[in-house]
Amino acid sequence: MEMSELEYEIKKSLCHKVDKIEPSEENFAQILVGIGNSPGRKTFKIGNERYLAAFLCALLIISATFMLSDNTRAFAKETLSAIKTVFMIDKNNNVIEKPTTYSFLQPALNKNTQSSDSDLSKQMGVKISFPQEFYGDFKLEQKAEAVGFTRNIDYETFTNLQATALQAFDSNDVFKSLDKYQPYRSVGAIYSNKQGARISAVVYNRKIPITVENMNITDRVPTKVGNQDVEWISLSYPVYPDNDITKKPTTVASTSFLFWSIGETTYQIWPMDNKSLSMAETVKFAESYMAAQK
Amino acid sequence: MKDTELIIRCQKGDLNSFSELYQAYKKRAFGTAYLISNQKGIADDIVQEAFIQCYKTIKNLKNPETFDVWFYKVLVRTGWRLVKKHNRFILMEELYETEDLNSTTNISITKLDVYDALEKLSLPLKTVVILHYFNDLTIEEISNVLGCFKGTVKSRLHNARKQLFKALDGDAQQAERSLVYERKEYGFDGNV
Repeated sequence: MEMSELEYEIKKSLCHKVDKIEPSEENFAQILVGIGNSPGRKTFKIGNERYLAAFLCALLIISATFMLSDNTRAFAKETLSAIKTVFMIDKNNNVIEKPTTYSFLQPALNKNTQSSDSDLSKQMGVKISFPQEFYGDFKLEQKAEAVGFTRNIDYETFTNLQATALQAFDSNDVFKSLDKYQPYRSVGAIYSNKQGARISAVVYNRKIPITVENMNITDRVPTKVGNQDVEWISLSYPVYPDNDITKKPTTVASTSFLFWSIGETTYQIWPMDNKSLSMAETVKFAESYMAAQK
Repeated sequence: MKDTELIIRCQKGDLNSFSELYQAYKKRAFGTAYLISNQKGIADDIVQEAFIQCYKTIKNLKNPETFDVWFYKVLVRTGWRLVKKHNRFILMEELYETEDLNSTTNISITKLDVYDALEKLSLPLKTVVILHYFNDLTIEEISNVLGCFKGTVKSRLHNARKQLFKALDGDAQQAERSLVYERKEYGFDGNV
């Protein structure tokens, strides 16, 4: 054997040895856990604004959306046994306490994304288009993706599902393994204009029921986006400190949004500040958005 | 593989960017960790610890352009520490799991022999071989990763190849003759 042949064999053998072995899918979740428990956890505060903005990436945010950064660390190591109750509101908007085993959550995990529309379309199985600018001077602020569940589950169950749900972002096999919780993927974008109006457009790859126990629907107005029947839904929901449902809500807020499903795909258009866009204006925004999806 | 903007965003604590960084480096990092440890479980631990360390200390990296060397330094140090901690020996079962034992081709035999021979090297020699042949790092980059002189890296690489050659060919004299040529190639006179 010549030396050059040896070098070739070394290189080939090393590559061959690792070729069929993949890193554990849990690795990144474990890394996040390690980061979250570090003394340096305050560094998350820097990036947290981004996640806060991504908060709107799911309808059920109102019920309970757990942001990736905060909750990975919160769920991963905090002693669950120390948390006995969670808070919700009743039909009269009164804050009530429930045990952590009470199933009322349809939670979602959000994270900001820089994936292209085509990549998001592939992942979702639905054509996704978030134009950089449309409907006058509304400009794209950021995009986010989420993995959530439409089946009501309790806080403890979701706590235990956290790591798996994180993996489901990148793995369809893991996503499918969560089937009994009726998982969905969603992608959303936040748009804003010079007047300060902010509005989000969210697409879900599943038909999403609009009955969630932790929010009170106060009004459902049928209307149309183009020829499509949609609803303008108004509801109230609890606002938790740090988005932590184990803390008593500071207030009960209200909001409205357009919501409709076409086949198995669900759309939501949500004026984020409640005031700047009326239903009629939101409908026009939605029509402009849907035109961009064709 | 470098993405300076990505590194800078990571230095600002952006978790999305860190996730991108992980995706970009995970395969090569895992491969390196696996070759150092020869066990998947330990390799996963090495990768996890290295990325946690990376996230915690990346803000101290003055020049984002040098991320590769800096990261491999973290990875290798973590790898050595965990390998020593676990004090594992080669598990031949793992090799057989990835090999077709019915194959009688020379290539398969060579691969198995290379694995075997590589595992017999000391950790410093094995690491130099991995960084050079798997990670495609230059002598200078390896010296920065390991924090030693370039001459030391050259020497380790020379010795590693000599041992591998001997193990595979069984002819020490042939190995030495071949390495005389190779020694010039790798600049033992001081030039890489």
